[in-house]
Amino acid sequence: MPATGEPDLIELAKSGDHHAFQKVVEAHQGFAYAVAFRFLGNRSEAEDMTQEAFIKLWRNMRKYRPEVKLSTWLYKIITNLCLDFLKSTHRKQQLKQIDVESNSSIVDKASEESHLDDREMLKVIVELAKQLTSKQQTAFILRDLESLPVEEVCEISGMNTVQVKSNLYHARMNIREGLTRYYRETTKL
Amino acid sequence: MNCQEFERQIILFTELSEDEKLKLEVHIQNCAPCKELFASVTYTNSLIGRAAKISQVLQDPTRMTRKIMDRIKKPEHHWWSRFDFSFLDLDSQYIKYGMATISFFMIAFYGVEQMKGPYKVNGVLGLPLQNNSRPVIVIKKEFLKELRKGKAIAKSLLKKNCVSPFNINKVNTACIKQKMAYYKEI
Repeated sequence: MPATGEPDLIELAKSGDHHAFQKVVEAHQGFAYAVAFRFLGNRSEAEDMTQEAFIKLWRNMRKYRPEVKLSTWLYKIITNLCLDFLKSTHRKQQLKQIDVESNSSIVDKASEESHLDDREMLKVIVELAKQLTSKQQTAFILRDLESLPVEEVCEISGMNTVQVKSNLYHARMNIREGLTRYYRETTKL
Repeated sequence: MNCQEFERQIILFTELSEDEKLKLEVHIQNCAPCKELFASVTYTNSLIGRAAKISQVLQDPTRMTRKIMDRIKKPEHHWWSRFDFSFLDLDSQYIKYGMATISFFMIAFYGVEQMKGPYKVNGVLGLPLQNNSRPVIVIKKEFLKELRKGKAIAKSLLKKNCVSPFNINKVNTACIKQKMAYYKEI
């Protein structure tokens, strides 16, 4: 995460300096993409969401308050964009298919190798996370995959601590259940 | 505290305070099912933790930066882009809920207006159209008075009473025909 001169760059970007904003993009696009990927599990969709997030950031740059970390603000934008994207009906229909298809494809690979590597595990977890509710998915990805403190999760998601913990509990239960089911299926083969 | 409550704490172990963690650890030492659950959850968490360490790397960061900057630099041709609406915080919850409330009341008002039956006003004859429930309001006394003066005025009165509620330049022709037919019968 970049640090040197970032407040100055942000101030310049706020005043409409394209060059300064480009520096901000260069510094944060990698992290923004990684977050989007954890929500969507798809490379091209994550790239699109990263682009949209920075366009939105640029358009709302004047509203930026220095007391909020830029990364927190970016997390918020990406989370909302990804959740809106996942909410679309078309996407929901796709998810039902992915559920069956992705599990079977990963199961095949897993049975060959007898155990999953961490990258495959991430894919399984991301797919399972997509089946959670928006709030559960947000809490789970930000807290467990992004390892953000609960306070920051609250700030990004707009939930209070109790709501974050409650959604986190249900999310973890569902992910655990999904992983157990998944392992049971892989060992059957 | 019973096992069910401890079960919740096991799932939310990373969110517990040091004091809560200590109490849970004491319980786990004396409760086999909770101990088993704790081991299982710890294993799942370790899998999630390992997966979380994998960071997806952007394949072509230069291309991504260029794409973003191209879109930002592209001039906007919309006429409204010349105005500064930044004072309107459209992402604000107040604006969102405010707009939703206004929309709700407008829909409710429209619905109520649509459901209204024939008007019952003294001296006004409410006559529903045959094929739908929209009322045709004819001020009988005024109409007959105007009719005696001349056909043109009566016609304009007919039009006046049949003006569309949504566009004052349009009249409901079915309404006029209906009224004409009615007054022929009188």
